[in-house]
Amino acid sequence: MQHKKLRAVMLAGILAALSFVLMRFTEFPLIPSASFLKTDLGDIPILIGAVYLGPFYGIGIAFTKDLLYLLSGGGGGGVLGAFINFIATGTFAFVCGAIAYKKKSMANVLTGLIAGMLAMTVVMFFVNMWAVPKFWFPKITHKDLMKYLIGINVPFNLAKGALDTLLTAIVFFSLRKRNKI
Amino acid sequence: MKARFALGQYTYTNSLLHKLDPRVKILLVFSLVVFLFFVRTITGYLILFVFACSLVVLSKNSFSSVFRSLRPILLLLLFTAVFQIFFTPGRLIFEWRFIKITAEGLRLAIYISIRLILLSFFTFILTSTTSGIELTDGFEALISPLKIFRFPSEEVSLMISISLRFVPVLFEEADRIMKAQMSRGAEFNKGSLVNRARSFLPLLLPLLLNALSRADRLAIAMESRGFVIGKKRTRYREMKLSGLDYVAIAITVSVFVFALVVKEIV
Repeated sequence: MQHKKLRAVMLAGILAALSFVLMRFTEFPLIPSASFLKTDLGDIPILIGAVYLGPFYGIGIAFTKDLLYLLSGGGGGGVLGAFINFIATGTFAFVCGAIAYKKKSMANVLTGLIAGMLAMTVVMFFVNMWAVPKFWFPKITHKDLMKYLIGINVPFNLAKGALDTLLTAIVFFSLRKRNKI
Repeated sequence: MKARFALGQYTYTNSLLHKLDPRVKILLVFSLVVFLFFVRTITGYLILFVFACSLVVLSKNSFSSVFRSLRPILLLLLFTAVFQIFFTPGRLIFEWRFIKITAEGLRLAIYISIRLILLSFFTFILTSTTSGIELTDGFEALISPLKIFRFPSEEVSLMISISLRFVPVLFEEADRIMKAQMSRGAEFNKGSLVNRARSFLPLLLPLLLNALSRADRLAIAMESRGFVIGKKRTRYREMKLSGLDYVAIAITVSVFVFALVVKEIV
């Protein structure tokens, strides 16, 4: 019991560091023409951790990664960028872990990942609805805000989530095939 | 390449701000960042800006390094500022063909930009004067009261210190694996979106496999040295509040209250 727990905490710490490193190494634009909507593979270690160690470890890894992100001085507006990133990744990881942790069959893992992706998109919709007028554009009209959210934000989060889902599933089952997880 | 990936912005000098207790610094910066959003006037923000600049001078950082820390948000900053200036309705002060600048727009642009700049200034001051170890220690001390609510504060802080320790190691490892795969003909970041994503798999898998075996070895090594989660341990570094810390709290709180209540003069 004690050994298992210590190992889980160590693994969670290393996965958080790995997530941060991957974020810096693998940044690429999601839509080649719009270079500002970038994505990276930093979420994959977090999702693997959430499935393998449980939903609360998922949140913990996401939190630690964003703390590292904050320390490195990254993110739009320092604290704000890291905080919003934590809400997004934390939701994704928690939902995914909550569904897939108990029984890690292929169907369960895929359901967890897809449910997590949808949950993240919904949560980010509301977070942006609150944050965009509050921090960036106080005078934005409701119509313009909705246009941005539905036209750019939601498709972006869905695409990012789908990519994460696909890669996490591939990586998770390759690790399992090698009996490592 | 190394410098760009270095974690943190810690500068090795010995200023007054470096000597402050990390707990005090974390709490002060955190509350400044939260309460920043309650300031309603540009004058208030200007006062805080002057305060932040004097902190930079006190911390013996050069202003060029502060502005370098602003670079990631520069594009966002410009975009929001330009957007506010041109698209806010109100009293016209300048008009040329289709470009219309209003007083309200200009004011809003200054207001939003100074707030974003202040946010990264305060974060920069914290991370440039506090080393990673100090930050974890401070953070651990701050969350340890949460134990009452059965919050696993020790696990969390252990996780944070492990991850801090492993970031440089993993950077090197990722770099090495990437180069090894490239020498075998792997191409990163080329082709369509799916291809791009797939091209990172030969990097991801070895990294994750190594992470798993590293966690095993680390847990065994720590256990064999008698490490048990939840046992009372003595500390190598002790944190103590000094007179300097009380002065820092008093100054920050008074500057902040002043910024909050000051009337708009511009």
